Amino acid sequence: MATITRRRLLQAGLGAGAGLALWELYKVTWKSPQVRDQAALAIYRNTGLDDAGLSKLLETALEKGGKYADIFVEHSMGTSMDFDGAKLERAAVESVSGAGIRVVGEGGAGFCATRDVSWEGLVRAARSAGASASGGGSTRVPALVPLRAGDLYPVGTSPGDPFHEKQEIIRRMSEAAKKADSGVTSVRANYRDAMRFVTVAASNGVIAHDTQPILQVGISVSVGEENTSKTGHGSLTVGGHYGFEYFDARSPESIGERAARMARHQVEAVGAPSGELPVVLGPAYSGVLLHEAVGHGLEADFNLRGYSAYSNRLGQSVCSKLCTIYDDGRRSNLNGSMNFDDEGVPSSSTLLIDQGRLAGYLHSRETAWKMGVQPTGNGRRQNFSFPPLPRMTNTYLQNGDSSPEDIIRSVNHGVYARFFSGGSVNITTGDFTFVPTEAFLIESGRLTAPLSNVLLLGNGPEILSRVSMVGNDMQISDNLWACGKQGQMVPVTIGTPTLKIDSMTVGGNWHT
Amino acid sequence: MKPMTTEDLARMAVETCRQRGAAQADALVIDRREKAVQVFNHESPLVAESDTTRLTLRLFSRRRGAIVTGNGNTEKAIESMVGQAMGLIGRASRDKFLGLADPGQLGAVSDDLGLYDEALAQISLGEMRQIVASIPPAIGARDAKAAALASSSFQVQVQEITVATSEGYSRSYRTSAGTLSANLVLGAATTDEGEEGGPEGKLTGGANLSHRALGGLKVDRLADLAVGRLSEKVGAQPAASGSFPVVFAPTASRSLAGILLQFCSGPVAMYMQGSYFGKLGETICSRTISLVDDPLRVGGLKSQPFDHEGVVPRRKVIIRDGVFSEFLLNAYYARVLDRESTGNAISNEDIRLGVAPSNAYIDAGSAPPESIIADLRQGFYVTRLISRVMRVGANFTQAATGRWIEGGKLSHAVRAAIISAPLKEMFKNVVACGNDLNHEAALAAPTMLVSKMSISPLT
Repeated sequence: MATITRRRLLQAGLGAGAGLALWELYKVTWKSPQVRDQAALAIYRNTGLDDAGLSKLLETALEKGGKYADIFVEHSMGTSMDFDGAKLERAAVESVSGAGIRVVGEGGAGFCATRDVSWEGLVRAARSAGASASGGGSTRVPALVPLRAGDLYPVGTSPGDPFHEKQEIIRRMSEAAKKADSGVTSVRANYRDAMRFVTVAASNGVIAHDTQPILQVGISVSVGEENTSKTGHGSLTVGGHYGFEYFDARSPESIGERAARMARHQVEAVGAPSGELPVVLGPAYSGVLLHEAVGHGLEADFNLRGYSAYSNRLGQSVCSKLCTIYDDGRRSNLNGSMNFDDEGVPSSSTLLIDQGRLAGYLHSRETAWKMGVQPTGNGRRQNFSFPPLPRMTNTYLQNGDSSPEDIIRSVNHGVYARFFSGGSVNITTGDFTFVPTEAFLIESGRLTAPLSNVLLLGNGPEILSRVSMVGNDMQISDNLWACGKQGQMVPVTIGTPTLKIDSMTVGGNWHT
Repeated sequence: MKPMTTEDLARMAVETCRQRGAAQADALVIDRREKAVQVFNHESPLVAESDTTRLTLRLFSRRRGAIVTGNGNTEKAIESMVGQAMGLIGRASRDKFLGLADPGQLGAVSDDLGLYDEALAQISLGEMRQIVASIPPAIGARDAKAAALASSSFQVQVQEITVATSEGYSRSYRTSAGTLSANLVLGAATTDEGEEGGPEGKLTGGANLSHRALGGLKVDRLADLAVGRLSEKVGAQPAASGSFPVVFAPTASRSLAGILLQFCSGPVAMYMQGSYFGKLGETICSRTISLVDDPLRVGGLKSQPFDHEGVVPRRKVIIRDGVFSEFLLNAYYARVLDRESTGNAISNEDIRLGVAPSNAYIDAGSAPPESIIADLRQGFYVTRLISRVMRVGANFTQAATGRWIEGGKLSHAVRAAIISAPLKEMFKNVVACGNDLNHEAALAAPTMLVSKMSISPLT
């Protein structure tokens, strides 16, 4: 492991704005946990800011009134590559920085984002954010105290340089996909590593610095069959807050083979039945059901305003007693995990549904104040140019007692769905749809024909009340999911054991 | 000191690429100022402003390419990123189709496309708050219950878009756009009556209204749209199950235009040697369908004097009376297909750039929508497609809401149902297009009747 001295770190950090030193810092940050711990602080100081300056900015934001202000300073950078097989088609370099300042008061909330992180630019942004504020008390901001929130992103092996190590991962993944199926017509892959350096300071005296490493590998495989001219496509993107140790537990070959299998499934698949049918959802990816059917409806802003199908129902039975659901932002390395949220609140594990009863909502600071509870560390934003909203992190359903085999055996005629490409929900009615990319017909307790063009439609509270069996095989999806809300995308993770839903609307090609 | 303009930034970035060894380069700079006022449920407003710049640089060297994206805060930051990119470019494979757009196609439309309105660009937050405050009363005047839970917003976006190349091309244009929104929840009070909305008796509806000019953002028009969309959901019952004719209202048929466009673009053409539906010159769908892309419409939400490579765009008929007549192309895919760019390049962080329609629409037919419905004994009138994930494969399978058609008239609302048909068959079975095309959205289509689709209701 490279030894990085504090002096070298400071040299890299202080030179960050001066050309290549920034990329030197990027490389050493991947290599050393000690550097990573200090890197966001170095970037923050490199902008010319210090704690006294941030306090002054917060006081400036509050000078017309307001109860609370925060400032979010971000610098993100990374490299990415697109491959055709193992051949590099495109290399890209990204680097974005800016700040968002928010004021919350009785007369409303103000937010101003700027790419100009000079002192003058930040003062302008602070005044603009606070322009419509009123109410509140003293504008004196207490001394900022650093938040220590642990390290949820331990990196074992730096992806760093050299280039050929990255290309080798892609080559192994692509070759495995081609070997897995003789009908593969194209394999495209992409690789990205990035680092997000974040500083959050709030008028309640919190300051937090975080360095978030990001590793992403994606593959897209096409399979064709000459006789029938049928084609299939399989794709997935895996990774999270990892280094190259990610591939110790999940070989590149296994990722390539899985994508090829997904593509082959579409070639072999036949038309799906339509109508009300029992549906068995496989482990891991089916967590998209929780995300759409439950998770969004439990974000506190919708409940505060009475929009959600779950508004004013705390303590009530909202689904089958077999369901216990958590949102947990503190699971190491996962895509949705954060040491602290984008408001400087440590992330947490929040019990949402306890054996069928509604136990809690997901809160930002603002919704927590308004509802008189503690924030849960779910205030998130896509980047500095957006204000934070209550969002999910890693949402999963706890294990039950049934074996997955018994669950499938219990269905005479139905649908089994294993992989999904996404979904959507109407928060207010709870109606949702989600789209399986790999599904099978269940006949007499056995998986038979692979199915294509299946769409599942349901109502969140209704469908979860029809969960009659929960498996003992809970898995977290390794796919990198991105969740959209009010124009902002944030990374999330989902997980679930195998589930049986007694009846659900299935849209396919033929009516049963 | 004179502040750096977006053209200065683009030219400086391109020059940096040349100095660092790139043979050619182009830069796209999008400088964006946004303002928004949002009010939820009569709470105090959220007022947001942002000022961001997005720089996308493409570097080419010996038919190899690399991309740099960022906000280009400083010259040193750009130099640093370009240095990194030049370190990677030598490892990329050669692609003979890569490079700048044909210089002969570069330029800018000289006519005023009505893209910028000073009154909208300069509107103050105070004026925006007043306009937002006028939305709930306008809705209340139409439906008292809906106004009680209205959320409303007004967003304004002002952009300056610049393209510069290492061959000396450099052009900019300004745009303004405003969007008024109202999202309604008609509420829990109807629970006991049992038939309105979902299990909690709630209904949602909403509408957006976008325009390039302040004068086009009419609160009354927004209120009509929002309340109309809410009222069409009252009294929802399940749809019938089976095969029925499906009428797509303009709010839903525009998605059908989107599917056709997706399959008539350069990337698909390259990989499929033609469209999914067939080759150029072939009849690929019903003769009732003509599909047009018009980047030159005055005030159009996606009109532009040049595309993201600097190519001057033109109006084109992509499908004429069911016959596939033209692809949408950028410079890269045009070279692959040995054709000319159609001026549809869009930056998407791919070295080849993406291809996207501008103001695209399925042309109007002659039938009034009422007469299309009047000819049907039973059917599903789809007003909204609710699956956000568009699955476009061999089948069109989507969840939809709308009204049931009984005896040639609209009857009860349908809460949700899945509609499905083989994709090619569905477009061949479009038997009528209405005369009700409007261009309020950038993607538009009239009422369209598909003679038969499979329907699976949410019960």
